[in-house]
Amino acid sequence: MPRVSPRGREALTGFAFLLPSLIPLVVFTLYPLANSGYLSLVKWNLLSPRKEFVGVANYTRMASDPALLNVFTNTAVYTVAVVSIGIVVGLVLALLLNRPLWLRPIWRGVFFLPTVVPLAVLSGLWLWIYDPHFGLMNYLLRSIGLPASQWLQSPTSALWAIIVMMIWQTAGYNMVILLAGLQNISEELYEAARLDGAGRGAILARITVPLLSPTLLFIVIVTSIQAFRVFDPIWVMSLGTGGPANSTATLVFHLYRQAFMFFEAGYASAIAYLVVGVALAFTVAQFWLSRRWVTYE
Amino acid sequence: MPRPRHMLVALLLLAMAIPFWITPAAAQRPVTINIWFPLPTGGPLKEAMDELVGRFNATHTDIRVVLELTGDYWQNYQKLQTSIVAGSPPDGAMMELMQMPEFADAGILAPLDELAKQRDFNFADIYPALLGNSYWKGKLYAIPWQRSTTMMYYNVDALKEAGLPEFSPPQTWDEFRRIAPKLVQRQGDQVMRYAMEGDFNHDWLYEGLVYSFGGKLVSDDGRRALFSEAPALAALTLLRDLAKRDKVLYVNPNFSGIIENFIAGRSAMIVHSSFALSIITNRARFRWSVAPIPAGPSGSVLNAGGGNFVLFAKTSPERQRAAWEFIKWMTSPASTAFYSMKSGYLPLRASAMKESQLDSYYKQFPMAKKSVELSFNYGKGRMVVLDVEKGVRQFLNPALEAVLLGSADPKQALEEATSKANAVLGGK
Amino acid sequence: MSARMRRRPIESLAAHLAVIGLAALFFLPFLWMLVTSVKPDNDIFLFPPRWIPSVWQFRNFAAAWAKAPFARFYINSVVVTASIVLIQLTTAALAAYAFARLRFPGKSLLFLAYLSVMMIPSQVTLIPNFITLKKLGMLNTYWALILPFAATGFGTFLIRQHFLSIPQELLDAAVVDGAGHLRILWQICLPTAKPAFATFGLLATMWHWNDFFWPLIVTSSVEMRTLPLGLVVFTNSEQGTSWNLLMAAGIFTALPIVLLFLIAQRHFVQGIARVGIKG
Repeated sequence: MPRVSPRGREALTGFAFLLPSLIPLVVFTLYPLANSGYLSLVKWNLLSPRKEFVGVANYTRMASDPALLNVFTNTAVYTVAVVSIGIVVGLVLALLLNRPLWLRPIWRGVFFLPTVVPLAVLSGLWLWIYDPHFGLMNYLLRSIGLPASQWLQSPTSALWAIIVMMIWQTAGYNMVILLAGLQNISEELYEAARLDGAGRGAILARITVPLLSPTLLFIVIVTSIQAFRVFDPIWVMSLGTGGPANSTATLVFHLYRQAFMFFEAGYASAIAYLVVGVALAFTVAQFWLSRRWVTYE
Repeated sequence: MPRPRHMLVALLLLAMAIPFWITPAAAQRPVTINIWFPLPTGGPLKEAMDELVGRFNATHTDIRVVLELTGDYWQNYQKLQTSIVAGSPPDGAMMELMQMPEFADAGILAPLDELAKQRDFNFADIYPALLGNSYWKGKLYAIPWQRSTTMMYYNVDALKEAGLPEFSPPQTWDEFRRIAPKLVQRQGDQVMRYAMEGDFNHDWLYEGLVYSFGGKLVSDDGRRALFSEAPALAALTLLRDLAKRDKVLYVNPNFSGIIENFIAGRSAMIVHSSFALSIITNRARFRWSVAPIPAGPSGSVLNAGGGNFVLFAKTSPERQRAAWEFIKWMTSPASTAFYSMKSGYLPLRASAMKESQLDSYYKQFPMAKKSVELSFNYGKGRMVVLDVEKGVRQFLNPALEAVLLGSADPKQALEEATSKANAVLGGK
Repeated sequence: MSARMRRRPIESLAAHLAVIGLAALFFLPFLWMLVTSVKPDNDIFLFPPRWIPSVWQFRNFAAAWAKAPFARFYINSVVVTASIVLIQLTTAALAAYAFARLRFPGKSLLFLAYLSVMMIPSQVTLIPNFITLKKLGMLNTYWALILPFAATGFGTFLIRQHFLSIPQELLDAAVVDGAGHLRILWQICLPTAKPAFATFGLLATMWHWNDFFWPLIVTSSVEMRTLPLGLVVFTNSEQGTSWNLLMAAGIFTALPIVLLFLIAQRHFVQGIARVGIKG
């Protein structure tokens, strides 16, 4: 048997460890991605076997698609709002629940509940909550003297109505991930800081956030990617229309519409590459930036 | 290695099985056909379909129909597309009628003219409005099945309360506009009851309204959008005025929410589908009735929608014949009468109305009969357009929403939508 | 009451008030869900909304259960979800260890490939994966519901982040002891990253439990359907939404995940004896 250097052995171990996930990854993710790369270069109506090679026409078409700017803006607003507000809410919940509290498991459970209910149930519930005339939301707002809104039924508020619902739905999810991260910070560090006379703000800024930074990096990246490719909540809350007046249509909704409703499989594949490209660029940029703000123990 | 004795026994068993395997196949193995049907895996419609398929299979020993339940129209559509791209569509399916041209034009669907001729299918008896969406480029592709039309429901008690004649709802939009304020109830700035509610932002109701104003949405050849012509503009302006200025009309995009609001007494009248009748019958706790939607200058129109049977071109002629046999049996007077009674959808044929089961059902629920008669008297088929999503709905529906739910100007919105739509439709 | 609570009573009170207020806000939609699930039909569409049912109709749960083959759907959901989560935990732990602790060529690029699992819209993988499974003859089987999810970008990333925060000295000590990588993973990394595993296991369970679209596409017979597909029985617009039954079915669908949360939460919150040397 030939001798393998320690370096080579480590690399071999590395690949062996990756193998069980690499095979399904190649078959069910990378192959479809490559396939759609090919499709983005053809004109194909999905139903006929005829595919016509068109080069980069599907990519240049994006520049002249007036709907694309609209869906990109909607996606950006949605992503920034859900990620930033969602993480702040999740962090507040995690910090509150990481301290000794009466009935703590129950509160944790309550905040986590929205994440576990199937969308089919949630959507019905929230469609009714948001009914501008007879829904719970306006009923409660009116009863405490606040102005009512049209919520999902106005082009100016519909996207925000979905954002509010999704922050409510994902806060518990952010909370459990951050709680797991907080668990990694040792109590002794806090005690030591307290003995040094550090205030609460200083502890948060100097100990909690830096030591939580690997988890925060994770959450920022993951929730951004998820928000950026949002589809299901948009589909159910806009009743499959992306409306009213395209106000809730997002990038992936546009992709779906192009492929499965307008039968433009080639153009849809080009949009898919735009989605993956932007997500990838964002992720790489985050990793690059993270060298400055993420500390590993 | 298995021991020789076991091998021997296995071989012997295999030899014995061969005759069983061969003979029935040669003689009379039933042709199994798969039909996809947009229904969930439970509920009254599913039970009605199971019953019908069971009866068919029992009386047709040479054919075995397997019904695959695919959820709703949209889920059915998704599954169909995926299976078509993968090259394995079912033998037949029920499909939302607006989706047919895409699939027919791509050669995915089997033309049915020959089958209909060979097996003398009785078209004369089917209500003409229901056949409107069956043809593409002169060929027959779809047979009506789960069909309904738009319909107006009104709360008789609410009319009485408002001092209006109980059983004569407004027959024209002018009349509606006159009486509507009496039906609206307010508490402070909150409306507790609207005069009328419906998803007028959707092309189904809107198209019906445009018909009643003497126009259509798309030219007959499917190449020109007509949303900016006078009838379409007049219809949208009317809706806008009723919703935004008079505040008597609630344009609610939530289709199922509309029925609930009617049942809860929050709308005195609704425009919905004729299938809502069974839900309202079961749940409403007040006197109500059905009527034609108020008329425009060209009368009242109830727009016909729903799902049709289609067969797939990939299926072998033998299976197509078997599937056709099934469709023919399903659309026979007795079957369509049974399904109509159980589901609330329209019986397809005039002769079905004479079936004794339907007759006794109508004695029990006279409103069901009235609604069916209205559908047939005022029903009209929908536009038949290739690229209806890409060329029509993509631009028309957002324009309707921008006017009725936002604050856009009808004329401007419709003109913009028309020019965008024409760029798609006319380019073919 | 713990020592810290007694030490700062005002702060503790404020925290309690904040938590209770937020919890009430978060819980309101559920309260409505619970109330609706036991309402008779006539109570549902009232306005102003009615918070206390005129009759507590608990038989709605039995009625909802009987509307579709839910027992079968339950078994399918359990089999599929448990298989996916166990496979994902295994593949993700191995991959995360490799990415966090081993050096090999092409590591960053491979890691990005793993992350791409999260980035690719499922609409893109839909048709190719359907065709792959058709070629493998796996349509309408458990395999079709499980295999496409064997690799997880999310899980690999989450666990890698936790493995990265394990102090190097701890691992060096094990290497000096002559432990192999598999043993280090099993004996040191797994116990230390237990909160991450509990969190990921819980989230993965929830996602796959509630997955609707993929099971719809790859299953054709009723026997292979999962719970979320069963809910369509109550929301079908053609038949009118049965709100009380839908909410009842939503409750019995979500219940296993809620129970799992109650069990799992011990593992990702502070206050429990910490495993490992750190901390």
